[in-house]
Amino acid sequence: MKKFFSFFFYLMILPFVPAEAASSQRVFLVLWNGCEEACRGFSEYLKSTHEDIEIIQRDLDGQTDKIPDVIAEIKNAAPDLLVTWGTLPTLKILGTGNGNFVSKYGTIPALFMVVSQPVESGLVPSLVSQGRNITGVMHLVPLAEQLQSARQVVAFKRLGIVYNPAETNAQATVDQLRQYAALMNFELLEHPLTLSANRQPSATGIAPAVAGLADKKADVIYLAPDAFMNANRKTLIDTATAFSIPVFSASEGAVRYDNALFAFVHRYYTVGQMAGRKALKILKDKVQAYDIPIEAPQRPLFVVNMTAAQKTGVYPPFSLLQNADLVNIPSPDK
Amino acid sequence: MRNFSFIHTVFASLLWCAAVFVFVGVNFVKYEATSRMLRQTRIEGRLLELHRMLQVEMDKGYSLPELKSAEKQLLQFGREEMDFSTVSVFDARNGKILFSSLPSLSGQTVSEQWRKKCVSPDTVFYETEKNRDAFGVPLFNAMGENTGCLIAEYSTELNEAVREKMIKTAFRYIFRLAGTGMSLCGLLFLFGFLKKSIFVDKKIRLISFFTIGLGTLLLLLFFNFSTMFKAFEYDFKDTLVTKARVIAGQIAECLEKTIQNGVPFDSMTSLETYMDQIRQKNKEILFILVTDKTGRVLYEAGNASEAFEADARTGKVSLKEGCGNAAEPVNKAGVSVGWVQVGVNERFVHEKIF
Repeated sequence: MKKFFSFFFYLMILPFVPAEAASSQRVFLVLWNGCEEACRGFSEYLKSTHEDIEIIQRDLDGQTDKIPDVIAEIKNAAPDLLVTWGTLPTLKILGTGNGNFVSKYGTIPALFMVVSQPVESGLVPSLVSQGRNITGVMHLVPLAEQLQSARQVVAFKRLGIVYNPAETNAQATVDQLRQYAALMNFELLEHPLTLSANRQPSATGIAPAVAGLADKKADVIYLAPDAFMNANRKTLIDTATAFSIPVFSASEGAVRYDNALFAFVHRYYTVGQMAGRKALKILKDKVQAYDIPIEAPQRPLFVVNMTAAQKTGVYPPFSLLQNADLVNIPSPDK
Repeated sequence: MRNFSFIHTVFASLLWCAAVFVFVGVNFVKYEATSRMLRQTRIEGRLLELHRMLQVEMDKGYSLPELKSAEKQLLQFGREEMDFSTVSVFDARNGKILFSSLPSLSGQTVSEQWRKKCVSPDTVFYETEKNRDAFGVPLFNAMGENTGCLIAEYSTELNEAVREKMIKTAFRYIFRLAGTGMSLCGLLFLFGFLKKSIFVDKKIRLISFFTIGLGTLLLLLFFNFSTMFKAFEYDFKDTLVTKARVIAGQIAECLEKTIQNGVPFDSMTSLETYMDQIRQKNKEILFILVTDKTGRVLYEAGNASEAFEADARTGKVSLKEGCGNAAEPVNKAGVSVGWVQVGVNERFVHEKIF
């Protein structure tokens, strides 16, 4: 009788028992310095899909010494996907060789975002055949396109750059600029910052470097993807503006928050959304990360700082302004 | 001169009528096609401008349902156009209307045909239905995915009215030209007949009458031919002027936004290039001028001086015959700071034909 009731009870609840209990999938998201636009784009994209995905977020607060603890935590948590933000944390966490990656994280796939030059930095050998279970989203518009778009704003003959020679990204950009200078018929005015004994640049060298570029009659100054220069970009931009030299930047932050004149960029929010889409492919469609190509969003956007335009007296062409994201618009009474 | 027999006269008249019918018909087709083209390019221009504004918002990373400014922009769209019906944005995945200038349409599903056609980037698709024409352009998100479509519907009534006017003009001129030609044939027949039978001894008088009659009829024929083109031009003048006004308004709107964004009115970079691109796309436009409020020309595309003439005695400058002009004000904080003037050549079809 007891068996009969048990069987009857089982029949009653059978329709309400799912065939396979749906388990939440976990994404381990490592951030460099807080949850900014790309992180927001990523989280909001996953949220909008209404999938059962849990995001475990860890912030390095801009300190590399926190990385070993985070790596240990990733190993313990064994998430379904590891997501990293920025070139430096990505290189430190994912490394450059596949053997090292596998020994650290086993089969956990990885996805990076906001890495400017994944091939040049040694993260992957190519954008389409990564050779490791990694995929990602780049945020930079190719340099040639940036230069062409810059020519629409300022018909420059001399392009200046102040950079940290100890930084891989910056050095790689300067190497590319040298090639394009010959092709696009402009003179590249390079100004590497002087390094200390322990190969550290000093921010005090930025203003004199810009003054040097002004002496050489630079038409425009390029703010490259260079972590040191971006941390000290205000000095560069303010000094250049004092000399009425427009600054164009590889990233939108310098335009949006620090009065660089313009940037031709993929918005960080879009980069995050695109990373979210790739994450969904890995988690829900079960596509291997190495089968998903590393790419950038499709539609770059001009970001123009109108206060900087007013200060330097350099106004981008009318048709370009119609299609741009205009920020820091001066108040009418100024 | 050989005499015209009655059979010859009838045959020549029929041949003349057929030639007139073909000639007027061919010209009607050309003018009618131009009228349609003017309307279509006006609507496409308006739609692409709205599409550009929405696309910039999407390139910033907003998804289609998040476009807060879309509803306001849709409501403003086409308010001044007589034949405008509705403008909507629908979701490419399910065809549901997200925003519309007619709020009751929101949530409704568009036809499968529209969904299939609205896919090619920056290409306006065109679909004609009973009393309406639909024009659509797809919207892409920053990742390059086709997420929706902007679609505008215009009533064809006004266009049909212009067409009917043109048909009437065509028939009016067919009758006039055919009648004149037939009279000419009749005169030739009559001249032969009279010369043979009645006024044999009054030849000089007869020839004089004949010459005067022939001259009058030929003049009438020439007059009818030349006024026919003007009549056709007059029929689509409204379409031409409406389009010029829409273009002037569009440029004025862009200028106002740029001024609001901090660019001084007299420091616009490459505005001439922008206006010249518009002129190249619209062959009927002779010139585009941007003036300050005193009338001083700040920017110019095309050659405006060719469209104006000065009265030798009074010195008063006015537009030449066959040139039209539409002007829209440029405002800054509600105060007029200048004007956009678009000059059109009303005879551009005539010039194209000959």
